[in-house]
Amino acid sequence: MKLRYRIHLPGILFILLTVFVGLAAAQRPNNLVVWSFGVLLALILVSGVVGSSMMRKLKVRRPEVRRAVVGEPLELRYVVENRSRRRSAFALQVKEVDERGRALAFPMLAAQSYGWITRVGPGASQACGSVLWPATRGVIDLRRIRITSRFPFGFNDRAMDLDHPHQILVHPRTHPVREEVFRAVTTGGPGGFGISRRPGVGEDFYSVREFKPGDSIRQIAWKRSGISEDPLVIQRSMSCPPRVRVVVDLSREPAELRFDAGSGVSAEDLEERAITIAASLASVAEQHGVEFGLTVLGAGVPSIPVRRGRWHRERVLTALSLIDLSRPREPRDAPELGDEERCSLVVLHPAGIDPALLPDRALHYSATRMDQVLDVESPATPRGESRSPLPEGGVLA
Amino acid sequence: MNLRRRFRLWLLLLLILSLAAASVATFRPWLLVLCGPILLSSWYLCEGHRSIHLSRSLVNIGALLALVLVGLSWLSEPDTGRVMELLGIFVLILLVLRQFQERTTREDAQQILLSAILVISSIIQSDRFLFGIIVVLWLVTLVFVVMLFQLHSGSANAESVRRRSVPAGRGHAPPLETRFGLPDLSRVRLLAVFASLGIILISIVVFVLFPRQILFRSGVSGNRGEQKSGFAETVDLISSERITSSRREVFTMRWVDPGGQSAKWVEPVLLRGAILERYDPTLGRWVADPGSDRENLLSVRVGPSRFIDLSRVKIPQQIQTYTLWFEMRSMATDIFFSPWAPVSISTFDPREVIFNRSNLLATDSGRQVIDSYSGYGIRVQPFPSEQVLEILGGGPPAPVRAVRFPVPGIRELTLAALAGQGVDTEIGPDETIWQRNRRVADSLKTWLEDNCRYTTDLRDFIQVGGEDPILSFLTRYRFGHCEYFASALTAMCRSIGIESRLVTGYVAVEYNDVTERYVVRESNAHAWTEARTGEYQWSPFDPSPQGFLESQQAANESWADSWRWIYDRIDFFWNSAIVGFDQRSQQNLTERITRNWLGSLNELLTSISGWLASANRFFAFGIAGYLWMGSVVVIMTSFAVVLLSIARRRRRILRQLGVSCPDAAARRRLSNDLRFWSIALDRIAGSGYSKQPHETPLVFCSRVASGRPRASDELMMLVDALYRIRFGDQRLDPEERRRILEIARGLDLSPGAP
Repeated sequence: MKLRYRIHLPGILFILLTVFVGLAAAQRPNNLVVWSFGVLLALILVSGVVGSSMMRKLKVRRPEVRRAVVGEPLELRYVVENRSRRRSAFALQVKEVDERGRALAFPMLAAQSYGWITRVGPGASQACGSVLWPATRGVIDLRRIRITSRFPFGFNDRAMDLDHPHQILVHPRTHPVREEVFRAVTTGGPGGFGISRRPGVGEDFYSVREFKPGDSIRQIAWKRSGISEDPLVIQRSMSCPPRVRVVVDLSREPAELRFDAGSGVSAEDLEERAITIAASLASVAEQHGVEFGLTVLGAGVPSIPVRRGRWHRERVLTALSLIDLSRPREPRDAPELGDEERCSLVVLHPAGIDPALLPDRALHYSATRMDQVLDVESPATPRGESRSPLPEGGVLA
Repeated sequence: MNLRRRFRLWLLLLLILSLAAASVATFRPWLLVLCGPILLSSWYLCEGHRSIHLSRSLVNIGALLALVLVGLSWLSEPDTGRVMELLGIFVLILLVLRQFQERTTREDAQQILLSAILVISSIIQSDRFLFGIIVVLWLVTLVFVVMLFQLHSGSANAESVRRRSVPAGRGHAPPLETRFGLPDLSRVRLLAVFASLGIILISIVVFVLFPRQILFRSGVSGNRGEQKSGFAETVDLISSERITSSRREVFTMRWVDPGGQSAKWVEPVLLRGAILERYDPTLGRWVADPGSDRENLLSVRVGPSRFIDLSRVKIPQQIQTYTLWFEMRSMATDIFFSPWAPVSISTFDPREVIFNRSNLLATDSGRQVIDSYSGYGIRVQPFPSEQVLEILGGGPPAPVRAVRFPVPGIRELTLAALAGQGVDTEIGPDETIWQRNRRVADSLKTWLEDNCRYTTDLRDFIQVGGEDPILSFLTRYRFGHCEYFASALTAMCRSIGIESRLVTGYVAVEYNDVTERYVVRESNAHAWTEARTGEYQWSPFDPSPQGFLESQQAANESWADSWRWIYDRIDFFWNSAIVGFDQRSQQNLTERITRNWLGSLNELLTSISGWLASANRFFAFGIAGYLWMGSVVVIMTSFAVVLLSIARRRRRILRQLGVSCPDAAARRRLSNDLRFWSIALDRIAGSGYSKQPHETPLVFCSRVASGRPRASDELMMLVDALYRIRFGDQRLDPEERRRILEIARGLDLSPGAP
């Protein structure tokens, strides 16, 4: 930890003023001017001593934040501890810098503000927060925390960098899914509903078992009981929620994608939109208790089985966050989906829809018309073209 | 009050202080009277709920007009000496205007900068003590204001950056959490006080060590060249406007007769400071003759132990030799003021005196210690014999010179005045030239007293182009102050061939019967004429009406004069040690530091005893005064020690309990009522138990009680009382407080207790 000093314009002006007054004091027989010169020098000295001494005993830690979402504020919290026994620290800025001490790179962040602490008392800790606005999904690599202060007189910045590496996963942004799309996806679709493999209190038949005290007499399977000597009861399966598998087709190289280049959207943007639609579907599915799985074609991401729950959603979003669109695409094959999954299939295409992929039982959506899937005004919508309502059942290839 | 509002309030105070500094520096009290309330009203109008502001365009127009005004003023009188004055006026107008506009933090910073520019431009214009006090106050306030500004602007910037960092259409960022309460403010204030002390100390070091090429001839108090209330070594009749009636004490003088008794002299004592022999009619200015012969200068080393004769030959001093003791109060000068004719001298500190034998003026050589201005004693002979004057002159008498005055019209007027009195200018058959000189000078003095009016108000004395001011005084106006009277008499004497010269100095007229001293004030600065009335003899002729001087002196007296000496002592220190600090003082200080410390200590003790003696003389208590002062010092010291120990104990109690409430009354009450807890903690700590930070009082006492069961009841009572007082807002009556204190003191925590 080394204090770094950086002088800026007010400080330079002050030094120039000091030099000017010093020259005037040397030329003019006025002792008050000499004293003024002494005061100006003393201000510089006291500023250095007070500012440096208050910074030296500072420690900062950053309570870990695991994830963020594109377009949503990410508030990083800092706890600044003043280990001095007597001196307070004033006017502290806390912000993130990279390993070279520069502000964090902007491709990853849309904007960054800094944390501010007015005072940390001796032996006390004070929390503050800075806000980052992630611009793209992926990983934000935090390396260093910088504490800066201009206190007491604002002549120069005194900065202290503390290594505190940490990574934050930025999930894709999610939007509400249009109701008719969600209904089409979850009503079984071409794939139909699945059957639960676990016993429960649903309506479907699961198995027959021996009667146990407490079983309802209505559940007795009289015919089977008549065959066997012991009474048997019908055991029901768990109620099975709708099941959805989202297939994101990233198997084509961006250059091979066919779309209207005049709309001002790039191929990479369309691929990001496909990922956004997938993330939105995963989020809304989790909210409604729908089981869902993810298959990403061509990007080397392992297929995620159909499950439900918050943890599973995190898993899906993490997989979507980590898709590296810069890597070469793998050749497209039809996804191997077991028949036993019995789930709705939703295929997301970055550009034009290719019905050859899962032609029989899938709903196909194109990222060029994101507004038809998600409840958001799509910037990709061509001018003059109004958003058309999607008929129930979605777009069938 | 939030941080922004608090900062603005202190900024306003800073601006008012800078305004006061400019007002004092430029001798324009109306600036403070006019602009002070305007600045104060900005708080009422702009910072309150009314929030009335001037628009930026109006402020800009006002600033532009101010610039034009200042520019026109400069063009009407282009003088480089006025640059700072005009800059100060412009900055002042700008500062007042901007105080009424809605300001950002950047503009707040500019207000601070404008305030600094105003003070610096004032510093170049003034070195008065009052101005110095205001500047020091301004500096301390500035340090605090700048610290507050850093906190306020930093907070505002952080909030602004956070607000601006929100991408378009993304709603709002989480709000910035800023906290600034009274404990924070008190910490900033404390830091500002310490920083100010550090700045003042460092600036003093720089002040002392700064290499100087300047050497002040005399550290005359006030603003050199501008103030006309004090003694001056030149007389300027054209630019003279009005002599202020300053009541500041310059020095005191004790007149001791040959018998050793303090006495008042029969007539006002004229104390000579400068002899002005040359008159420049083009400038209307009297100046000293620069061409003093080196042979006429006598150097003598003087000290406090005895009087040293101002000659190489011993002077007979038995008859009519009076001793005058001078004690400087506010003026630092190397001139030894003295009546005619000084014969020997003694100083409070070792000094080297240069005695000019041609005009009998003594000055310091300028090679002695820094505080050498403290005082001196002079023996004079008001009526010296020819022998004494010859010894003082140290050589043959100066030849009689044929003199004249280079202003036409004076001679005719003089002759007419003398003719009107029936005085003949020729030497009579039974008189010498010296007797003639005395007779004629006396007649002219009487004529001036009778025909001219004394006033210090010269607003109606309008200089006529091409006309000499002395001639204007004698013919056109016939009113003026002492400089006009003395100039007129000197001119009239010279015009008819009488050797004469103008003398400036002080006239001692105010005699304090209690302290048996003359008090000489700035308003006693005076000018008169000396005419040659012998081969060695120059006699003073004061044409200013004495009655008027005395009545004016009496009219200006006030009750505040009795206490002015306290201010004047500090003012004297300011003028001698700060304003008059020059190359010589710097060298002397270095020598003094390098000398042995014992000697310095002795000097310090001597100066303290001198100060005590002067204070004792002032209160006129006699020997009992020392006992009285000693008692006061002992009582004050004891009182301070008691106060400090109480404050320390209170701080300790509050710290032990973690009380940080801002209410001083609540802190005082808690520290009184909870004193028993501090005592109990000390006693418990003595038995080997120490309270951990995470333990509540109840948990701690339970732990102690488990090890010392005999004291458990008392401990629980104390804890109960603690909770009731600390958190239940219960107040103890004295009886209950005493009882709990006894319980705390009587805790039996010995290990052997069952």
